[in-house]
Amino acid sequence: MNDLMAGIEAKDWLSEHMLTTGDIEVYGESEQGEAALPLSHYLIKTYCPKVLFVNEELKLMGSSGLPRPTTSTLGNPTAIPLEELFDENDIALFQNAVCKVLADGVSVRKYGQVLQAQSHPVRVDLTFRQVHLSQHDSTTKLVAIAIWDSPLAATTVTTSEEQLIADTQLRILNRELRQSNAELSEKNSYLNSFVYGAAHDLRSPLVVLKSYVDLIRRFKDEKKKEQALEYMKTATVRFENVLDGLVKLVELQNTNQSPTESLAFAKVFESVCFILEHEIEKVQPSVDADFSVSPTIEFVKAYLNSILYNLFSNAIKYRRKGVRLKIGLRTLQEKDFVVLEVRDNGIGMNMERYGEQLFEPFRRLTAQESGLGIGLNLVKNMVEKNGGRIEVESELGEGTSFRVFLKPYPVE
Amino acid sequence: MQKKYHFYFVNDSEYDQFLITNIIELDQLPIRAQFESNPEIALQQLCKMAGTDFPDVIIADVRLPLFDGFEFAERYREAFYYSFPNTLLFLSSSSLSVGDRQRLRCNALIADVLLKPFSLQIFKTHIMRHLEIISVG
Repeated sequence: MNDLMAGIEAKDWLSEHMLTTGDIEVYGESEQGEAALPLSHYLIKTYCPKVLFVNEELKLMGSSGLPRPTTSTLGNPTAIPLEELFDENDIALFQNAVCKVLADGVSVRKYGQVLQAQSHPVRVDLTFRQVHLSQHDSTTKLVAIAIWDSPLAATTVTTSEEQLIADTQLRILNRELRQSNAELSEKNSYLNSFVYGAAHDLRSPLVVLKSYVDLIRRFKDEKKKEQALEYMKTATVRFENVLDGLVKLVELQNTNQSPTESLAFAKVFESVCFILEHEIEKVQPSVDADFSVSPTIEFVKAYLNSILYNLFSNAIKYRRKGVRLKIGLRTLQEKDFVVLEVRDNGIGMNMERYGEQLFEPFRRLTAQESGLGIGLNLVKNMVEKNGGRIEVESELGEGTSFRVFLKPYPVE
Repeated sequence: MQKKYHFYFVNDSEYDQFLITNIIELDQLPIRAQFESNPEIALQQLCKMAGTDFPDVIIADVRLPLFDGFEFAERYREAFYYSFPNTLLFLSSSSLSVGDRQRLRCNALIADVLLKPFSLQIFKTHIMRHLEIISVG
């Protein structure tokens, strides 16, 4: 409702309230338009106090072209003369905008002139809504929605105005509530699996430490004691890594806005290579990095570092044995996005089978390396939190290609 | 000579493998242990063992790479259960979520869940007891 007050675009409002044009069945001329008008009047005043529209000069025109005096009860809440509100250009722009939003319906005309507003009886779920559209600053706006239960049941229209208003508000609130519930349920489900995964991965190394203490006490062989101590040491490192990964994930969830800067992909990649120096030296991959199409991006530095680090280190980690590892990195420009592509000729994945699990936290899709299963979930969160998305192509035994669509921040 | 039971562990944790091997050795349990960390390969290996040396006990970890212990159990049921009804299937885990517990209740095939860490107690009270029941039966 606040959006309406702020004068949100009709299309956006419709879409936000799940009233996309696809959902709407446009019916023919309504015989009940007149009854809906007092409510429209109220809604105009309630939801869009600055509305620049409507008064007794308007006439509702049926598809037959005959005027129907249905808008006479509407007042002009702005008290601004219509001539000041609309000129010929406005009217032409408005007509175009309205035509884009909804198909043919009943039109509100000013004494047969070009449209100033358009009114459609539409069916959404089991209710019928009278949608009034108006225009301001070349932008189509929804100024009112009137709801009644059926265009054929005239008696329902005689319900008191207060009742109708309450009903309307309740319907809108219910819809918003359903939407919020669905979002909340999705978040809860993610949180449940996240907490369980985190608890399990933190508990596992502790369990190892506990059991190994007992084991070491029983060993008489010094070599075995040493071996057990070495395992205990790696278990503590793993515990630390899981904890670090968790902290990063939680920080990411709680971060609203981090400062951005213009980042050169080549420089970021250089620092990633420096961190992975030991692995690169060990594996000796053939790396082809070409960032010439989009050499820089306005983005959060820590995120871009982490995205590139995780994708590049995964490419090294999940290489095929006996095949020289080739990693290709490049940037592309696709509409509003800078695409970072990282492809390899590694072990690949069966996407049909495991594709949906790929970005789940604590999920490992290969037995080859004992990763934490956090990296790709981090990448996904960082990318999506910043308005982007990830596409993955992979063939088992052939390799994998990640295409990360990064939405650049506006340069300050 | 006491019969040695063939235990097949589907478990990708090297810590568990070290622990289990040493418990069996230190406590002289009548167990011959075999390990596989990849559940997909484990199923293939079980196929190969079907004609010769099928395990008496299979213990699959709940958290496995590729697919979890529950899915392993389901695939195992489809492929082997009716041919080897005496083989016991256990799952092991260091923690169980509410969802895991519900899935367990719905799966009659799984003999029990072993809460890690593996210990002599677990082998004696949870696993060998089941084996003795089967042997007596």
